[in-house]
Amino acid sequence: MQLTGIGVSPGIAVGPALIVEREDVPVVRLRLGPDAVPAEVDRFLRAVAASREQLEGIKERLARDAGSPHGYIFDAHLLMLEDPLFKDRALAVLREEHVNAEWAVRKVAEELHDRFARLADDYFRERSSDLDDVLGRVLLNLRGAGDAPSLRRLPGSFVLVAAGLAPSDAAELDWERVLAVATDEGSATYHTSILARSFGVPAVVGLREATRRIAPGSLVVVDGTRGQVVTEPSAPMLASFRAAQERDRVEEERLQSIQALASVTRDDARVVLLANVEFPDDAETARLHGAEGIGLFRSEYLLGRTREWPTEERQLEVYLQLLRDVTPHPVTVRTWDVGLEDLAPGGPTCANPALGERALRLLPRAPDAFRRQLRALLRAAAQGPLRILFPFLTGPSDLRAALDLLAEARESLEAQGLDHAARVEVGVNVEVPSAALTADLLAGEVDFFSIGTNDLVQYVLAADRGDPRVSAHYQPLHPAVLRLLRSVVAAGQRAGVTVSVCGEMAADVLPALVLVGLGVRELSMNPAAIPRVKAAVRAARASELQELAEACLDLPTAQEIESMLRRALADVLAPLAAF
Amino acid sequence: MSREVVIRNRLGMHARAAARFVHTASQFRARVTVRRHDRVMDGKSILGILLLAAGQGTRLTLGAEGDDETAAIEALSALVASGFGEDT
Repeated sequence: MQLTGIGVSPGIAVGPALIVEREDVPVVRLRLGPDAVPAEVDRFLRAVAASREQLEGIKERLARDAGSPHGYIFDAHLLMLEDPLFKDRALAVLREEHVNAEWAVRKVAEELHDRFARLADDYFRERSSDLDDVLGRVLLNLRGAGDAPSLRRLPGSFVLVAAGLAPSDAAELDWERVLAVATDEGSATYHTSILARSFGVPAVVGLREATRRIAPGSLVVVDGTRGQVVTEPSAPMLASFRAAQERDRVEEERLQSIQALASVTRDDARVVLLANVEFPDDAETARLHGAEGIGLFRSEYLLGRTREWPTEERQLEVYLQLLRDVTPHPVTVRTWDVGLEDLAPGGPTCANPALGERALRLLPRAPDAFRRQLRALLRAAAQGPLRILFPFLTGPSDLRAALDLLAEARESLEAQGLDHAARVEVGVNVEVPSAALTADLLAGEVDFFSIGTNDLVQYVLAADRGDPRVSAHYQPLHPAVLRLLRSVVAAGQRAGVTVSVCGEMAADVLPALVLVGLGVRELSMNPAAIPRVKAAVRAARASELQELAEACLDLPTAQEIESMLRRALADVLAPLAAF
Repeated sequence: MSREVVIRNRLGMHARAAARFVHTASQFRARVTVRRHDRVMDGKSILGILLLAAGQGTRLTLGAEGDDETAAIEALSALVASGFGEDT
């Protein structure tokens, strides 16, 4: 039997099905004698306290494991748990109606559901599922069942089949033993989908009737790449899945095997591949994937969860660690690229952070934070090839301010007699169109350009790539983008400045090859993308890519550019098609 | 005291924004209310706020009563005006 849903996390897995039923806790309704009420109130409060503790634990685990920004869901859940409309109301029912706690919780849940069900807006109406998640937990705790232990400690490796996985269930799952996930409900932005992707577990959601049609223990194939779920596959079918799985594995190995190979085109053009790194631990991953250094370290990691400016010594420690981890390759550190809201949690915010007080524009508000960072960077640069990258500069005057600040930091280190680099490579993160348009004026003042295409494309095309309603307008291959990139590369080449690209464009094979064609010789991307881009670089010819890139510049639309590239590069792309 | 505000962010008073609102409201001793037309909710209740289903463009009246009511109104209306730090 075959079911089709939405593939939300790629890969294929085969295994026995484990059906998760979020068990409807049987609710016993009891009338209590008045003297039994205080003990019942106490029992209810203990269950709420236990629930709070579990939710806080989940929130922390989630932040740690997935490093995810989805913790706010549990902030909302924690607030629901303590909400007067739930807690105070349940206590009132307990005290006034002399019923057992389960009954009181159920009664309040029904009242609240009625109110949510009457809302016209889908999003708000569906928040009653969050309420279910929270109150279901309270009921479980009342029963003394505690955390759902089956999900945390699976008795083996399984394909998990569930109607839906509440965010708290998904966060608690014993992911090591989950071969794949298949759910009736859900979408690509479903929390379970996001978690499955971050754990590399194949997942298909939106299957509608998977739990009803898949028998516990039956053999299930989940193909998260194609959104297919097959139960009790026939021998030939299973064989074809196994073959696809094997192809993926071989491809993965092939990509791994090119880790040690040089990143050069068939006509010997060298394209340096670097890694974008968020956390210091990623440096090791970067090395394993064959990165020749770190092209972008987003230093905001150092602000931690408390969003406090780190000390100079703490920064020095991290920068030196990065240099050690990727030695002898360079480490590029981007200076603070934070928004106003990061300065003081709960403090002022920008109406439009992308156009607001951000990065060095915050200098007047937090001068010491920037000074400390530059001092730490200069000190670290004395020990290895560290490069400083200034983000969000809009042109020469911003750059001058940044360089003055750097000079000032150097002078203060000299005055104190602290060891620091006499000379350090400095670069501009070219991501604002004004910086791109003044690249020739900037080139004389810096050692390298790092083009941040994610922001540049977004600013050039006035399209927020995070907004699904306009994401189709976010087109890295738009002629305006390619023309602008060409002029930045040309300005860099004329001044003998290294031009690097960090952004999704560098990680996607097709745009990455166009960048090489435009003359870019340094690409920085998430470490996992490196083997694939390297395979593409090794299969291509720079001379041919240059001709193609020039031809692209004359085409009027991104669609035409893409289809022309796909045709012309079919030979290069074909071996990578499995991905 | 009370003040009228308009929800500016694209997603409206969704779960994250509502959580921020309640966190902020809870920092004050004043009793906080949020009114939409004839429905009044406790400003320290996330369920109440979600039940207002306040999408982008919704006009709300914030109320506060207590010794720190002015500070509460200032902080909450600034939070709403900032679009909760989200896209507007």
